[in-house]
Amino acid sequence: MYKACKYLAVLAAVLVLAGSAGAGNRDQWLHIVVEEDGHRGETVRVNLPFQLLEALAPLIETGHSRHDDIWISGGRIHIHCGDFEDLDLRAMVEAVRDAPDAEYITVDSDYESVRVAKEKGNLLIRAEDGDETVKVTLRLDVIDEMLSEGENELDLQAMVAALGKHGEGEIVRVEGGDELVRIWVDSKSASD
Amino acid sequence: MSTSNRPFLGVFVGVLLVVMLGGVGLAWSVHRAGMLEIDVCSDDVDLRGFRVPAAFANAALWFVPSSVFNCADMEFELWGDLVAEACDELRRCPDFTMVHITSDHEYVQVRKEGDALVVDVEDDQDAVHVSVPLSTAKAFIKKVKASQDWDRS
Repeated sequence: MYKACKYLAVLAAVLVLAGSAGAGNRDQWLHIVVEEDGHRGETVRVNLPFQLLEALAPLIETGHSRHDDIWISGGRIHIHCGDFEDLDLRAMVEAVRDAPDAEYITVDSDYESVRVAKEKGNLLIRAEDGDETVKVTLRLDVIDEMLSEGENELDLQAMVAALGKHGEGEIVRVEGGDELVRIWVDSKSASD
Repeated sequence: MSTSNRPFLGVFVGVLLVVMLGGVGLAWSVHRAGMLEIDVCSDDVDLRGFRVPAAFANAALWFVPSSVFNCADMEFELWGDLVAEACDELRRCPDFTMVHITSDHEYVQVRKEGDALVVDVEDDQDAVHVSVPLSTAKAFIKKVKASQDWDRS
C-alpha cells in the first residue's frame, strides 16, 4: 500500500511538473517594440502569445522561386546560399556549448566592430556600426533546438517552442540614431 | 375541457415548446457569435453605429457569389490557412493588445477582445472602429478558399 502511494505521488508530481512546463510555455509572450524619436515620435508595440506563435509556425509559407536563397515552408527556414551550405552548424554549436565562457570572435575596424561571446549558456552577438548598435542574445538551448535534422534548414517550429520554454529575457536590441528596437520574451501580456 | 381536445392540446404544447426552445437556441447562438461593428467618421464617410449580428453576417456570406472573391491571389494561397488557424487559436487566447502604434498624429490599436478582433484607427481627420467576430473572419476565409477551389476545378 505504501509503495502504491509512493508511485502515485511520483506520478502526480510528474504530471504536475509536465502540466506546469506546458502552461509556462503557453503563458509566455513575445514582445516587439520600436520607438522612434524625432518629430513624428512613432512607437510600435507588438505583443504575441507563444500559444498563437506555436500554432502558426508550421503554417507560415513565404513561397519561393529558384532564385531565392531563404524561404519558409512547413515550419522550417530553408537556406540555400553557398556560404551557409558549407557550414556544419550543429558541430559549431556543440563546440561552443562545451567551451568555457569567453569572447570568441572580435572584429574591429574603423567603421565597425563585432563581438561574439558565450556567457552563462547564452550566445551574445554585439555589432556596432557608426551610430548603430545591435545586440543579440540567444540561449544555446534555443539554437540547438532550431538546428533540425535536415541539411540547410532551421526548424522554426522548434525554435518558437524553445524560445517560449527557455527564452525569457531580451533577445534583440538595436539602438541607432533616433530609433530603438527591442524584442524580448516574458510572461506579461503587455509590453508597457 | 373535453377529452377530444386533449391530443390537440398536447400537440400544440409540444410544438410551442419546440418553437420556444428553437428560439432560445437561436437567440443564444446569435448572442454567442457576437456583433460585427463598424464605425467610420471622416471627411468623406460618416457611418456610425453599423451593427450586424455575426451569425447573420456568416449566413449572408454563403449567398455572396464566388466571383466576388476572384481578387484573391497567390498571397491568399500562402496565408489563407495561417489566418484561418489564427482565428481558431485566438479564441483560445486571453484578451490582449496585439498591435499598438502611437505617434503625434496617429493612433492604431489591434486587440483581441472576447471572441472578436477589434481595430481602432485615429488620426487628425479620421476615426475608424471595426470589431470583427473571429467566427466571421473564419467564415470569410473559408468562403474565399472555397471559391478558389471551385475556380481551380
